[in-house]
Amino acid sequence: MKPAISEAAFEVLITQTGLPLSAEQKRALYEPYALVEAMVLHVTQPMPREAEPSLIFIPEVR
Amino acid sequence: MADFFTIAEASRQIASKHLSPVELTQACLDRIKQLDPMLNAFLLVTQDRAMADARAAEARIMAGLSRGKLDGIPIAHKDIYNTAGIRTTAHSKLLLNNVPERDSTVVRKWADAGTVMLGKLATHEFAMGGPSFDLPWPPARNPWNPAHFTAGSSSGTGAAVASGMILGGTGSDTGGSIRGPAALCGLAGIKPTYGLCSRAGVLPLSFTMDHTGPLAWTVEDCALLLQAMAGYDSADPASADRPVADFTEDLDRGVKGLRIGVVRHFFEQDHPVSDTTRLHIAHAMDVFEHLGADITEVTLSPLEEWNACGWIILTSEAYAVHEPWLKTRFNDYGELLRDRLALGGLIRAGDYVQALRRRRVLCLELKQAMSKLDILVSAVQPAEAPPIDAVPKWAMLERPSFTIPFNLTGSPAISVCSGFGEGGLPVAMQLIGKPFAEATLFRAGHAYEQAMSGRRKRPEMALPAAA
Repeated sequence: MKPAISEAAFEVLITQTGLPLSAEQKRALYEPYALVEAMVLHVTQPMPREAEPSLIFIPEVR
Repeated sequence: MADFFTIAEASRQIASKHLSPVELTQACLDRIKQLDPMLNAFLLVTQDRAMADARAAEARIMAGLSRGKLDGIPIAHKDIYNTAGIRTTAHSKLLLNNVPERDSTVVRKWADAGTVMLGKLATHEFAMGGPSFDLPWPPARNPWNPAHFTAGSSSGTGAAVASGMILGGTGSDTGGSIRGPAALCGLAGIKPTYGLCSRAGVLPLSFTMDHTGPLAWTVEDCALLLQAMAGYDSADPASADRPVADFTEDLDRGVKGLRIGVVRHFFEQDHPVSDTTRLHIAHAMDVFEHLGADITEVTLSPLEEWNACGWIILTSEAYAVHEPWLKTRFNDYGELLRDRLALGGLIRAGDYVQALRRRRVLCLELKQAMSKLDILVSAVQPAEAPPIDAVPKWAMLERPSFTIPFNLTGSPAISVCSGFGEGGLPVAMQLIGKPFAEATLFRAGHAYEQAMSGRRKRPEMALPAAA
């Protein structure tokens, strides 16, 4: 499965992480990134605006 | 002395002075010497420590000062659990020389309970990258057929318990790493409720998904081990400050009156399992029904929804944990882990937060679904263990996991061996409970094991005739 993101845009995404990947290592991640895109689609389906994240801040830190 | 002991059997015999902890420990060390060259379950065998622990246990018991049911029981720890003065590597080149100054809380609690520590066990690298063949140690192999996978990441614990090298061991479970090896190695393994067992001193992978828990030969043994692990720990910010239940008190109560919901679409439609796996789950439901449980079918959101939410949170958090090393020592990781972690670095902050919001929605959905149920049932693994050299690099992302939904919700979930497949390897079912209702899972799992005449069949390579 080919990712929706272009190879050029993917390159930018990788560069932003600051990880020292070789050109070969970057290429190896491009196609699997389609699996991440598919997962992101699942979690970005509409939710009620008031749906809180599962992590909440508790002021009384132990 | 018998060839194999469960923890419960050994405990009874030790208490009645019919079994010596020293002799039991020596038998385990002998088995390690015989089998581990084929199984690679141990990264380090702590023979001197084990014999010292065993002699101390024996002296206590002879003096009438037993510390309880785990006194003198041989165990070992997954090598992400810190052990004071003993190398803790996470099966990685990055921590080759890491010697912690203090025990993790769970290691200390098991030591206080009198267990005998035999060593440190193989894991997928940092509990996420495996099976890998480019690490300082080879991957653990499945005692039912060493050419096959153990699942992971508690791979060494799975192999060591299944082969009888230890009677129980620690695992950790962020997306299924206790339940997977328990399933493919034919054991029982429980991921307890988030917060029940301390994670302090255990190398983190994903802060909101990580759980510690035990693997053992039987459900009863898991209950005994969990009893000594569970409890509030101020050193773990997620630790639940509440009393711990007695996990063995109701073990023999059976399942009469329990309400069990089968999430059939998870393993028949969303990610179809092998015929054998499916038929064994169906048979188990017949057994439960025959024993008096009420069986119904439950529909939840598609497994892919749970899986996507879980993996986005897990890989984002794992990336955050490892980012400093990824930037400075990228090529010291094995290929599998560094590539999986690098993908985590590509997930946007906004998508991570959306996953956290989705997580709460899914937690509420499960709570609602279980409002009139005691237990849910699903699969653990899609089939028997595949050959170890045929596990696809991205398998964990390509097909939705049966186990990660309950890391998301923090629910207790246990893998119970349900029989054997056509290839002679174990298959399993997963029982899921309400938060902090581990005792109900033990009760059901134990009833099933008893109805199936216990857990008699052991891996052929571990039998005396094979020595």
